[in-house]
Amino acid sequence: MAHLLPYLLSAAALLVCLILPSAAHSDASPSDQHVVDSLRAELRICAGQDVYIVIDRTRNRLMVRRADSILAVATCATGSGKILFGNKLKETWHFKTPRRVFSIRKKVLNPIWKKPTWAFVEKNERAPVLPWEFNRLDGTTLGAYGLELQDSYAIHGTLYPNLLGRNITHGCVRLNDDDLAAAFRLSRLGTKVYIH
Amino acid sequence: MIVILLTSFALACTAEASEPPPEILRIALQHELDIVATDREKYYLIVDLFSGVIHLKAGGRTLLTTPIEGASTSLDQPVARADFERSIPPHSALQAFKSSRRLADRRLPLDFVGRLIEGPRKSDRLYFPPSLLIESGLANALPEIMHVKVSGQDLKSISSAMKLGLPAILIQPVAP
Repeated sequence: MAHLLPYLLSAAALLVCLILPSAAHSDASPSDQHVVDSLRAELRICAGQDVYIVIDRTRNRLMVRRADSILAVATCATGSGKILFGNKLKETWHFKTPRRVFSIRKKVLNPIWKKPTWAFVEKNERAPVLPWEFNRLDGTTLGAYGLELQDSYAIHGTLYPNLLGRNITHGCVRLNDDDLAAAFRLSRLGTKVYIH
Repeated sequence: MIVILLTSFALACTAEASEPPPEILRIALQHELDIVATDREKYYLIVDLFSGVIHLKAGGRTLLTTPIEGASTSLDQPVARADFERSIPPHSALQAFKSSRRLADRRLPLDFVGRLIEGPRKSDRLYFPPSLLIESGLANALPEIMHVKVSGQDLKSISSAMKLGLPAILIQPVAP
């Protein structure tokens, strides 16, 4: 039995060497890389996997994105920044695409534009008194699709595709027919629209 | 075989060098998550000097990525958070602007056809007190302020997203 003692002691020492470091590791905090991975995962969950639209007003560029990928890029036209003074006292309109986060409220096929008063004032025409009068309705200007946002803003088509890439609109975002069809197809109700 | 291994190792090192080390990235990500947890629609900037890019983000989603063309001086901390205060016009001196709330030579907001002339410009400087300035040129650099240079068009795009209090997270290499 005595001759086995050194072997038993060495086996015990080996076991201690094997077990103690692992015990020490189990008590230690997870490594920075693991924390980074978990934080990244948390951030990915916050960002979600939904499609979103980004509009750059200075470059007049619209991007449809999902997570880290870009699904579509288009040249658009955004607000001119002009101010129109109306006939009545203190009646002014500011044609600006705001820096804001919108969401798509309605997707419309062949949208009909109900012309607001400024559209008549701008052309020196008399605006209809009643908001539902027939000559306010225009079925050709907005193109084949409309993505309606909050506060009467929308992403729609244009009659003047050669003016895309400029700040010329009354606040809405204009796209050409193909890009508008792509944006319409890729987006859905509630899709976020980030304007900067 | 050895050459292939060395090449792949060198490539891996190069790829790793473009990303901040985990101990720095962890702090930056925690800052970012704090911002996202507060408001998912709030825009914020990640100024990453390791990767050499500025990300404009909201709710963890990337809106814009622009390359950094240069940076002047370095702060002490590897990760710093600063909130946007104002856009400094190109014709005003930085020192004079730091003490004044409103410029005497401020232009009228409208031109003769009623078009707004105030707004983002390629030559603006975005000031995040106390010590971060994003700009398109490095002229009149002050030693106590960290200057980050981007192209004029990129600056205009970033500037159009700015709003008072918009946070920026700066990630940078710091010498030991």
